[in-house]
Amino acid sequence: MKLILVHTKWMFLELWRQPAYVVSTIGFPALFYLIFAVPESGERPAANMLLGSFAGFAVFGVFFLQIGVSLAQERTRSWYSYLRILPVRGVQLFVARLASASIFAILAVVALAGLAIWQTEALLTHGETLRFIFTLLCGSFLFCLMGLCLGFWCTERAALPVGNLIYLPLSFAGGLWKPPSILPKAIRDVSEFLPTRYFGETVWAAVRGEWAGASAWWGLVTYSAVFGVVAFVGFRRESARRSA
Amino acid sequence: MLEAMKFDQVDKGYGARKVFQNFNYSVRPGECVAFLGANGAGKSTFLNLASGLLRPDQGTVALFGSVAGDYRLKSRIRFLPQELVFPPQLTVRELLEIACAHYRADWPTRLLADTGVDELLSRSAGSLSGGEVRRIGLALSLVGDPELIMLDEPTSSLDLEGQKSIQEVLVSHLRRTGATMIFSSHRMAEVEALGGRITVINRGRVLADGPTDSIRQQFGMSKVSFSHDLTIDSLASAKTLRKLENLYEAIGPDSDNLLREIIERFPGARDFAVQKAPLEDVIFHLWSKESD
Repeated sequence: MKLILVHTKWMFLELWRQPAYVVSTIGFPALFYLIFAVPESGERPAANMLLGSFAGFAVFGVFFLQIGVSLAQERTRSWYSYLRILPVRGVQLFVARLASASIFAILAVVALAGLAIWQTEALLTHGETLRFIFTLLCGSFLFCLMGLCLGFWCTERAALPVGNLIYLPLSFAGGLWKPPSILPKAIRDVSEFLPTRYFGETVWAAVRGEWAGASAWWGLVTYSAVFGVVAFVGFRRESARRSA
Repeated sequence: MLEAMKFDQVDKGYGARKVFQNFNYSVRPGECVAFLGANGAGKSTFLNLASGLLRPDQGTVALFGSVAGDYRLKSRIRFLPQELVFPPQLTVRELLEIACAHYRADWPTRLLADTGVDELLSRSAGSLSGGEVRRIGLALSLVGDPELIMLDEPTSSLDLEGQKSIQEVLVSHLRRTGATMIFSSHRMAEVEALGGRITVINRGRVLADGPTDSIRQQFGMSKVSFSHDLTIDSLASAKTLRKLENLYEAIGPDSDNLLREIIERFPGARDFAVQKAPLEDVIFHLWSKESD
């Protein structure tokens, strides 16, 4: 446990001291929320939905990009070779990576919640809050698997641009910026089958105090299974390559 | 006694290029071994295999009787790779805290003073020079008194003063702890200062292996220096002939033969000096012999 905390600390500090990273993970979701969501937030149900959407957008960004890009970096940076010599297990390093990503995700969601309370009518009951947190955790799991796929299958150079090419369109088309109902028809048709849309459905239901329908959960489970398999194959390939 | 390191019939290659084939090698506990070879000879591959970062294609690499890379070994060994780049956002103090946490080591005040790292603690890793990074890498390699230390060119990027001080730190550390150390190097002064045993490899083959003096004797070379006003292109009894203005240095296995040939063929030769060839020349001779 102590080693997990040690590695969580440096992994967090490494990113926290990079203004570009802090701005993109915590600042951008908050800024987009202020620009696009606050003026259209309206009554409480709509404001809650927008808070849920942007919190989902922030969590997606942190887990997908942070896990993916850092994993891709591990392949080429000598510091990670040094870590492999230390008496610490790979799983402990991975848990530390998840923990540091979780801290950023929490900070991003707290910043959004603060803005929502300050600037809009958004307010969640205890039950809605618990459902909301649960769905964010489920989404984090899926996005973490997507990040693993990105990290195992992309080079260090490609990981960030490829990640952004996936992250931004999937967020938009999945309805995390604008409600799916006002998306262009072509995107709306595709949207229903995207992982971000399934995730969005569970979040929107949670902030309404409900559970999403089975199709949304099955969508999340199916995508998690697919990304899990792709990540596992990437992991095996990477393990063989590392020791070759 | 259990070997500190044992390579048993190890094959390792990168694609079609074979670095080691049926390679056997062992190091006893407490030995200090200089691993020498030209660029591409297989020194870094050897250390990466020993540290468990690479796995052999065939055969086994064992440290203290356990397979290299085994988790249980990790607290007993340290490896300083040839190139180590720290996360630039972390401070030197934070880097050392990370290392200490893994070895349940107290804060290494004396080690940091000896290596000169104590003056760098508040600096960010991104602002360090190559030599400072090397000093920190060495401090990280000695934290917690490991039983086996593997260093890939430990004093590269250090100036002469830095090399000397680091050599002193390593010598005193080995004396105090009795640890086993294996290091690769291109610097013969360092090898002579540190190495009790020398292993010379080329293309994955051991060309010479033994204590420094025994290598000198086994591949004994003498150096005859002399002056001459004429241009001398070659000497039959010399393996190497170097010219510096009108001063010549002839290196060969037998000083008597060298002297005889010089006197007979070049009567105007003067200012003779005969000495044992420096280690560098012995090693160079071994490599050239292998290349021929």
